[in-house]
Amino acid sequence: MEKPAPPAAKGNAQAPAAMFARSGAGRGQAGLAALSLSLVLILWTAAGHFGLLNPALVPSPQDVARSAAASLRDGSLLHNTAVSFGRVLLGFLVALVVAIPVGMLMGMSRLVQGMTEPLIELLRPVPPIALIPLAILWFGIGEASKVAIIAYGAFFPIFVSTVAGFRDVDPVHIRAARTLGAGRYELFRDVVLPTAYPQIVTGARLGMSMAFIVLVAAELIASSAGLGYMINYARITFKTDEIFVGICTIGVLGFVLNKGLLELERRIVRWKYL
Amino acid sequence: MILGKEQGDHAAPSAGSGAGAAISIRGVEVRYGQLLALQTVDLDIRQGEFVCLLGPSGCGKTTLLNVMSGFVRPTAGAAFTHGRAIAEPGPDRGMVFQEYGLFPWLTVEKNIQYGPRLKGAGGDELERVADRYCKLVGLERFRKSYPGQLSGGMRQRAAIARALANQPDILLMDEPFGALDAMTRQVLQEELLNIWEAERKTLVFVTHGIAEAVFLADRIIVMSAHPGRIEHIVDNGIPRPRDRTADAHFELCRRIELLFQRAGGQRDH
Repeated sequence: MEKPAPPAAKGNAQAPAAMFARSGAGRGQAGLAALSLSLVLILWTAAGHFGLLNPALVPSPQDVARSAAASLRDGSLLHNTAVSFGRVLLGFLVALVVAIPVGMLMGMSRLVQGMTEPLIELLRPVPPIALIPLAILWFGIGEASKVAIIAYGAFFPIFVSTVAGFRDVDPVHIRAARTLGAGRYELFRDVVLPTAYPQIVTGARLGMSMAFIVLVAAELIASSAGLGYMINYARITFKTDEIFVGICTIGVLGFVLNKGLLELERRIVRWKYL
Repeated sequence: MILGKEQGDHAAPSAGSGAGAAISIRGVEVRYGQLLALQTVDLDIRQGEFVCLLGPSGCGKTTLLNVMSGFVRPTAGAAFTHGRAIAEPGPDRGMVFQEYGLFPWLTVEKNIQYGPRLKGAGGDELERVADRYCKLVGLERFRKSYPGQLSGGMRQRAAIARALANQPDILLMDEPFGALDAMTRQVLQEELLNIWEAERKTLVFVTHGIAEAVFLADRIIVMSAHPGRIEHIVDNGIPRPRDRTADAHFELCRRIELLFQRAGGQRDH
């Protein structure tokens, strides 16, 4: 009997990124990240201290922290974050509900693909911001237009991955299932869906990231709450420290969300990350 | 196994109705557009027989196997299994592919249980199926592993176990050991013979390896290309268990090699 491949070596070869995050090397990387962050903070503070930065345009880290603490205390930061998060989630869900069925049809049918692909390829290079005026005309200046912009941004990553997922079905899996007695329904349930599933999950993660990127643009439309509103309002009132708080909040939220979804993805499609 | 049709009883193809045969090929011809992939073939494969389809690429051996599996519809003639016409793939004809075809998202045991599960088998029965077939192919310790964690040889064992667990009458194997290294291939050949003797399946095995066919088969269908056709049918009377180093083994390999050379020579004139 031949020897099985040593599992550790195999795992290393197949998913270097996954191994990196979980091993000792991952701890080293976290250390490096902390080091570089503190270095930036030190340089930033020092530059402000020695008068190299105009405090009205670039507040010191301490000012930003103070501002963050204040907006946390009065609840405005939490409120704005919650409002933005709600929009991101809603836009993301709309994108999901549209992108997955359309992507599935396009991935599985040459006819649907032939008819929809040119349309989609024409729309794809149009940045979400370019659609803001149209969104306002169509959906007004209320929640609907913001959600529509976010949904539009989140749509393409989910859609493209879904199409690829349904298109990448391995013919030998279909043949194997058929010789084992699978009919059309079982082929779809047991072969096509499991093949497409991991790609859909990846697409959803990328779509969520995109939703965050588009968020601020969407909130530039006459909004009265949200992180985008907070940043824009702080510009009008010339509170640069609040602009920094808003930007940092978006950065941290996006980062945490992406990490969380990546971990979720690893868990639910475990066989891909062996 | 039908005792009256033992080794030595040369099944003259195209003779008889083929009703008693596990697989019966009647005047089958396959064309892909203008290309004649398989020239008219008549062939009977007996219940419990181990048959190798042997030939170079382009000889139509895989096409012939796919006619038996039901993936390829002949453009003329018909194929039967136990007297019933073959129209499409079915669970009575299990298949093993060179690329394994295991579902990477299922563990070894779930792969093995797939066919029985489709037939409606439940908890205890599925457990017994996994027990029995993991043991049969020596994968007890890897039941919960995913195919991606296994070596090529182990994947092919799992694929064989999955095909057998579905209780097919016939096992069709398309160059199953083609992607394995030579040592692993020999081990798996021996294990396949043990499994075949234990399970008493009719086995059709596609290969381009002369030594592999001589070591495994009761009967070797020697095929040649342009157009794909049966050149010869060689009865392999070497008694089992067989020895790869025996004179009889080499002698038969040589005979078949000469058949190929002659077939190639004729074509050149």
